[in-house]
Amino acid sequence: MSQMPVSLMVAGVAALCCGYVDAAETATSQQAASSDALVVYTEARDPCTERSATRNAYFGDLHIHTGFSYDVRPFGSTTTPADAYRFARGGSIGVPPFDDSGEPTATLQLRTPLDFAAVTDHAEFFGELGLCMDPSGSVYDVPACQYLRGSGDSISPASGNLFRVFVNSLLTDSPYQVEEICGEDPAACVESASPLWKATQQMAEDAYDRSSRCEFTTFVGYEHTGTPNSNNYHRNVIFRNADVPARAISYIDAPRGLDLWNALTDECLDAVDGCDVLVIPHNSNLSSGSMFPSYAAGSETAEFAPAAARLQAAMEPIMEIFQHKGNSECFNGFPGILGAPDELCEFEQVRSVGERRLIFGETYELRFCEEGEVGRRGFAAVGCVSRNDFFRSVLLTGLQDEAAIGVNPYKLGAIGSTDTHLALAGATQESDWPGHLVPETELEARLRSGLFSPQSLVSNPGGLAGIWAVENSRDALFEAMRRREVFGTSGTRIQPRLFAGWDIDDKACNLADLPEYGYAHGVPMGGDLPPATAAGKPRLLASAVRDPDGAALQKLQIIKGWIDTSGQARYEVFDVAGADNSDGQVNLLTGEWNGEGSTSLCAVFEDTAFDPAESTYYYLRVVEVPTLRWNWAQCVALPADERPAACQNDAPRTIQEMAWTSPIWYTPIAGD
Amino acid sequence: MLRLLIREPLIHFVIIGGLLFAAYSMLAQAPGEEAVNRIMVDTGLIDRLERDFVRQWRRPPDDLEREGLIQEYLREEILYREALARGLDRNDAVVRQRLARKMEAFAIIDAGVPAEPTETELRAYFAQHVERFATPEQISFTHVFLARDSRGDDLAADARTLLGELRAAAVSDIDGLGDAPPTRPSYEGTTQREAARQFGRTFAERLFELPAGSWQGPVESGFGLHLVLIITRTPSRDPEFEQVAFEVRSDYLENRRRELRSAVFTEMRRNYAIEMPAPDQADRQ
Repeated sequence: MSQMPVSLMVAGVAALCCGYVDAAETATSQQAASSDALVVYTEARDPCTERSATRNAYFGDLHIHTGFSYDVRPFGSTTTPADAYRFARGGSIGVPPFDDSGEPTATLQLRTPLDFAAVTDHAEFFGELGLCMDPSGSVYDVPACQYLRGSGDSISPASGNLFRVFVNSLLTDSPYQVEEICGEDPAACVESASPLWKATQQMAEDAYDRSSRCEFTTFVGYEHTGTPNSNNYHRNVIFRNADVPARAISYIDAPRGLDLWNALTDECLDAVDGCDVLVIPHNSNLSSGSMFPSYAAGSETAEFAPAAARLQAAMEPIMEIFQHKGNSECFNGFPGILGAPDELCEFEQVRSVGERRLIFGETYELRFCEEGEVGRRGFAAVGCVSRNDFFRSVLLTGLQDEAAIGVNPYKLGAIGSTDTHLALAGATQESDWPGHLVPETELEARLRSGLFSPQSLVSNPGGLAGIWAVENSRDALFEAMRRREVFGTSGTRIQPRLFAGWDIDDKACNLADLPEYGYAHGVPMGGDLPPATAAGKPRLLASAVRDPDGAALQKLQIIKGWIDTSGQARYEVFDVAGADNSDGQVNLLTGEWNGEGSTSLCAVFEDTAFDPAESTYYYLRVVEVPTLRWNWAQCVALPADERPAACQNDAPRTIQEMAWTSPIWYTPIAGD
Repeated sequence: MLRLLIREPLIHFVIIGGLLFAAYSMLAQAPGEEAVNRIMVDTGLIDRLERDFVRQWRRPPDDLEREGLIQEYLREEILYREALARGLDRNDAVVRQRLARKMEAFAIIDAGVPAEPTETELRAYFAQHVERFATPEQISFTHVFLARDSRGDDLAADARTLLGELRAAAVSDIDGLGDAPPTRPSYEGTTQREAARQFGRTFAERLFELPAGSWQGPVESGFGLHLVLIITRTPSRDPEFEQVAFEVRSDYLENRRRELRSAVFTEMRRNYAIEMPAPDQADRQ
């Protein structure tokens, strides 16, 4: 079975495939790596012609699913990572709904190709798919295999039961391989997972531009898909280069975060020469407090808490705060945190406190979690909402944990991505977004309210990951992710810059070489302010350039979070550039904004209330002028008499796209 | 011990299966009848039927239900075989397609994996397909930017005036002209793709259509208007092998895979004589 060619995996899409060749080995034999002061290469490649010591902004998508995922293929979608990469590079691919012969009825193409991408298929049922795609194997014809291959009628009630065969495993904290396919010994499915994992690697290799043109970078990756108690506990695992572990360590292999980080240490960092990895959690907004527990208040014994916190901080330097299933930046009203309500936290939220939902005949009302509580059914948008589910407030938990146990487990940078299940990497445009899952690709289905996981009307086209890197190569991008010099957007290509230092000049915005000045006089996003100077105040240089193919900018905001001297968690939002320009209006037919807006904005902000004894962070939020939200943009594009009735719905018709940078931290010197 | 065994459902199951098997065998071998079509009902089959039942009903079938499952299976199997005997599979698009896909999967296995190419092979491939690896056209240019934000309604008029001045005076020092651009003031060896990243797609398309050597524009971008001077234009050209070695390898392998697969199909097709009626006959049909 282990000899089964990778090509088999794409039997359904005969046109595309690949034989497996060990790419890394070949690469090494072809060309030696050449490192220099700007990039340390861990792989063989041609150095990039286009590079910049003051970094370029690269845009990509680090959360992409294809037909290698158990929740894609049963719906008839046979895409592969190769399709996703082709799409990301600007090629066009087919999009459902499918016609009677199973062919996609539409195609889509990106306006601007991505600079980088990582396909992150669910690793959990790679083994089952491997067995189910082998026509000479013994389980090829069992119902669960027919279902998984998409040969059956995927929306019939019987296949609903079959879907549960897979999902139920992931909803427990002791997940299992599917016995009907793997047999009684799950080891069979460990072995049969190998062809899909190898194909994932090979297709990333084939799409990676190792030439000096550096047009496109891929990362080998996968999703670790834990959903214990129906809470989101999902994480993407991203490898630095082609040196990766022999298996994609799934939620079934390693059911807790700690198990995963330990396994990655054992099977990547300590086992494979050149292997390096980071883990990016996502949708903490649906985790009911399970994703980021406080180590100080938590179940880890005091003795082990610092070590576990250190491991998490090392493995998880960034989180994905925006994607199809909503916004994880911030949420208003958490008990125990002081700060004025922030209207922009409501942007693309998928649930609200007090909201009632009927599930299996029972009514649930969404409430705030108690201190340290982990709720249930976060994925069904019920349960409870924890302060640790959101970027802004979990950063505060990190500061408090650091005071208690000496380690900050949540020193997190921020990115966005899509979570597309249609291989549509970076397809974030409101006007042509075809939905999250295959069944949503009909406009009418998309405009309905989702029953369970947030989908359809409350979901959105997702975001992009932004990376400030010296060049577009794996090593340069990975290093930038590790130092958190990254940002997220809600889908457009805003370029935000943030520097903090003690002596940034008031006039820094007028400089032609603003980035050079920023690096010389401060630290960039993701960094730490050096120790405070006597009576000095942190000065932040914040700037942003609009998306040349998007809308103008409205304002820049600095968000400050800190723990005051009494131990109280606080935040404050400062408007530092631009204006609220509330006099403007969006033309609901054309999407045009008639108020003011800016091409670029810049400000130097001094935190006059700064206290050197308080742990503090700052991040930048950039806000665009209003534009049409997908639900209205797609309806208004149709002649009035062809619009589905569902075009009349209660979703907002306009939004303001945003960008969020990673924070810059200030830590008091112990004893201050 | 025996009592325990008697209570054990699996034993019932094996015994019943065995009995059924014996019964069917006897029927099939009944004297005086010609046994042409055999259907094997073994424990493996019964086991599978029972598992399907359990998944649907969340309990094992009782004896009556088990017998029902077997009869239902027999009915389907017999109808299936009769359908095949009458050739009903031949004109059914769904059946044809599913079998063809299954066969395709086997064909991909038969095709195998291409061997790792030697450098000589790669160089030969490169020489043969050099146009696929051409370096894209590059330009070096400088631009004077006029911001839409600050100039508002005067934007177009300002741009026209400034363009006239630039053309007439052959200004050598453009520092301080126009507004501070949100991008760099000049670019060297930029591809259209890179220009699109910086200025947007529409701007990049227009930029690459402009003649070199004189001030041109205004060209519109999301930021405002740009007056552009293209200094040099490097046309698309053939690269050295070393510059694109990785790309050549991946293209070569992709190409080989396609060849191997099409060879398997060609081999299959060799076993068929394809007949096509002459066009006039086809029309009449």
